[in-house]
Amino acid sequence: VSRRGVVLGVATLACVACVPASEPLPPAGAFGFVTEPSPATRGEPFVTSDGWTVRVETLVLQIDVSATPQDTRRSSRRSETYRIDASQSAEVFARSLPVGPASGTIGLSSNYIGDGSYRYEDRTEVLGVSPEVNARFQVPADGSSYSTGTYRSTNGPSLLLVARAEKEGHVVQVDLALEIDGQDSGASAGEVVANGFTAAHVHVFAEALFTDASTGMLRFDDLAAVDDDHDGRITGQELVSTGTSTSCPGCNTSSSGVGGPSGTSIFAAFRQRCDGLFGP
Amino acid sequence: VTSLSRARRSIPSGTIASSPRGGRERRSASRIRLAVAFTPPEPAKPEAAVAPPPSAEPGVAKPAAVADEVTILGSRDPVSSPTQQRIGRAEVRMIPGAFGDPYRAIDILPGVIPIVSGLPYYFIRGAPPSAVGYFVEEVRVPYLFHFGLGPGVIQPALIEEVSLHPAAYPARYGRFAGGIIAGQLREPATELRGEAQIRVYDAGAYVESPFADGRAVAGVGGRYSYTAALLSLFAPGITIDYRDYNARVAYAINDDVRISAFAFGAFDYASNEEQGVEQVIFASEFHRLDLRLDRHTATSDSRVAFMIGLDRTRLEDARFAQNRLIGLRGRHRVAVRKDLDVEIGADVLVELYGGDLPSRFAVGKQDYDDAFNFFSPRTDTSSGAWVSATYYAGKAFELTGTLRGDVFTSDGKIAFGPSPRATMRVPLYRKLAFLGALGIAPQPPAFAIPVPAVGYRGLPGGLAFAYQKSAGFEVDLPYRFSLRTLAFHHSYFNLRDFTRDRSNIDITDVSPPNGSPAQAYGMEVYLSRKLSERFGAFLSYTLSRTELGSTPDDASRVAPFDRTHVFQVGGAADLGAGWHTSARLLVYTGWPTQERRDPNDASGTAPVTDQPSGSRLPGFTRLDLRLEKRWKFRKAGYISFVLEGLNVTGTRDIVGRRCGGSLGCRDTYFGPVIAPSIGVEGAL
Repeated sequence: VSRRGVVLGVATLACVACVPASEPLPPAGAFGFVTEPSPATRGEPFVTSDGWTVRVETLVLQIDVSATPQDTRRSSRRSETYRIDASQSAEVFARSLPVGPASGTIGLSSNYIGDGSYRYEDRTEVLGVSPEVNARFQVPADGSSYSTGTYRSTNGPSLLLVARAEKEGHVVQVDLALEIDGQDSGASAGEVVANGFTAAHVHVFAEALFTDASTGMLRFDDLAAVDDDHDGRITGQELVSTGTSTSCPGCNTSSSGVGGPSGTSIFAAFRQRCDGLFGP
Repeated sequence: VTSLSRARRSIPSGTIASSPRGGRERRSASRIRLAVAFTPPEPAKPEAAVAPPPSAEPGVAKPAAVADEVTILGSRDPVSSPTQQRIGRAEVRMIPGAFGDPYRAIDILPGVIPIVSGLPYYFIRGAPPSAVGYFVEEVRVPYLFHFGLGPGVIQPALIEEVSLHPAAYPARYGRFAGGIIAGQLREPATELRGEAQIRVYDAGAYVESPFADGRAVAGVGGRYSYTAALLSLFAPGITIDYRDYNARVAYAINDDVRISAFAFGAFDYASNEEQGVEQVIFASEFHRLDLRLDRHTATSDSRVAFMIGLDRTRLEDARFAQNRLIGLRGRHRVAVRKDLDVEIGADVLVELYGGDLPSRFAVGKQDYDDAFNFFSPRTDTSSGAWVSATYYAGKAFELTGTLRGDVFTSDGKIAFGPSPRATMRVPLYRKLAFLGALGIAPQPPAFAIPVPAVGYRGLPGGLAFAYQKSAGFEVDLPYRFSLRTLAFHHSYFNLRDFTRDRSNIDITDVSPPNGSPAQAYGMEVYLSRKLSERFGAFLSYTLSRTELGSTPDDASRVAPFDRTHVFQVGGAADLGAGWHTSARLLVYTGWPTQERRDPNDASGTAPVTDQPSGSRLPGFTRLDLRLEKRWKFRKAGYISFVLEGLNVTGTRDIVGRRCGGSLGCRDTYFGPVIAPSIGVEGAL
């Protein structure tokens, strides 16, 4: 009986087939960028043409990476959003691209936060950002409570900048969490390989945020003038609400969405400067 | 009966070691000594009155009694609980709609609230299916039914009884907040026995036989579905296949000690052929091997067991997941005094999860994150220890206190879940007893529906806790009816509950939010006369309410799957000449309406679901029937022809309602789930 039982048991076990293994996926890979911080972005002080010594203490960027395969019949554009500590190198990419030639861009982006009735769910990939700093991206960007105009942001920040500027004993602290309209400011092309990451190198230039667009010179006086209450601290609220004129060739105040006082605002100029954040 | 006592002396081997049939029987954990005075029958009275003999004393009409001592062997069930409900195998067979499956039969019990008719997933006292644990002989089962809703994966011939523990479970069970459903295996056979079923869509059998002069027993069984072959006739591109196996071997080393191995497993496979390529929709399998050493003496009951298991699953568009399990458990229960039993125990389960993780560059971020959560390698552990004491204060008077604690680890996270429990059964008056239970039950995050090898990594959200309270009465009524009625209040905290919004259920969500507190309260009534009697009947009624909330961002409301009334009445009859029949009527209240408007519909013309808010969808009524013709042979053998039908009237569950301007209101339905079964069953 035991032998028959064993045989029967083995036969029964043999009848129980196995779950089939995973089937191979279509060959695909990722295309994107490896960001490299400039010395200023890493926190090294630099001196502006108007005599300020500026040190970037924190620069966190929310960026969108998009990649488009050359053969769009096989796949469409892919994009992914990251939040990175710009002072460190980071790999950011768009995935699931078919093997072959592709091109990609990188630029600032922001998340829709809403006014409280919408359940915001942050699906951004966060790289090297502390929870405390990351929390600044879970609420609307600075200036959303700006009450004198019609502008009301319901988006989170694209950029968090904490910097310290000093000139002749006068210290100004910059603390901005701003939404910047996304414009692809870096572009590259390459060959996507199966299960691999094709990367282009892009530098992050924090000093671009302090560069006068018309002269190409580093400046801080215009930002320092934003400190309306003279408390030595420049906030996003002050930046958005200040109508200080500054040179900003190409700034379009209507498209910038700034509803503050008419004219070229420092906020519009600052947004324009963000285009220079990424460079080869 | 002149005296009744609980014996402590060890029973001589010769008294019980050999059964009358020559096989070996397990020694009981306790025994009762019953002293009986047998009175010889009076001599037949003569036709004519005869004067009593001169020696007879006045007033003593009968001869002197002949005293003897009879020992009745029986084990005090160490896992019994005053608030548990049990269904034995003889009853299970007669429950229409259960198809002889003990685990499916538990839905006749009060407190068990069906999601929809025909689905063997239940809310138990407000707890969702993911909070209910299923066990067979103390081994957790990943799933009990093929494809989650089909035939059972454990052969009914192996199961002696199934118990529902809705609160303050016996100490050896834990890690589930909503209830425990535990099956108990039959004692190993003392002679060749077996059962088989042949149905339209599958066949199953289990055969067990003693050998080695009755010291050892081996059994094997399984179920095989031929739905794949049947479907190929009607739908050539679709494959639905399932099978399972059960086997055990036991060997009695001596009168006290037995070693045994129990193995079971199942395989499910569904695919669809598209453009000549077979696409796997779902494939899953699990295997368990439990090796045990049991020792039973007159005053103690011990078990040490080692379990290994393998789970594998493949879902559509997802990856192959695997979980290897290793478990070790031990318990020792001893009667430290005549009126005090103590049990200590511990168990450890290590789960090694893994799977085919795709390249993180080749799939989208969400897909990769989902795959990483479910398929990347990790090790989860669950460890528990307990001490439990039961004090028998008098006849049928027992108080049990338990301290249990479980530690869970996953992906570097650790959590501790204390689980104190207390139960009592207090006789009040003759056949009336008070039943009470209090308990705390922790649970790690659980998948909405148990899927082998798929679970959450890192204990997201931490442990959930249930606070269980129930009290009631049990009374024995005339004609062998019994009535049990209990009131309960259960609270659930931090439970990952997928059933909070009927219009938005995503069981694959890798990080479902922790729910706000929920509570369930109500009353259960169970009136029954065993269905295994010639005429049996039951009435089961649950009056309950489950509420969600409230927190500042989650207002208090009735749970979307709440059913106020669940009423069942049924009966079984032995009609004679081998004919048996049974019927069951199930009635339950509809779900609360869940009014939902399209937020983007400024005009207000878009359809609205479940209008008006605050009312309920229509209820549901179902009739199940069973008819059996049995031919007996030998002593216990039989062959039966069985006709059985679940929902013979073809009623549909109403699961929603949409109301739109010109359309009026239109109900949405589930089903009807109709399960007819024509089969032949037999036993040796």
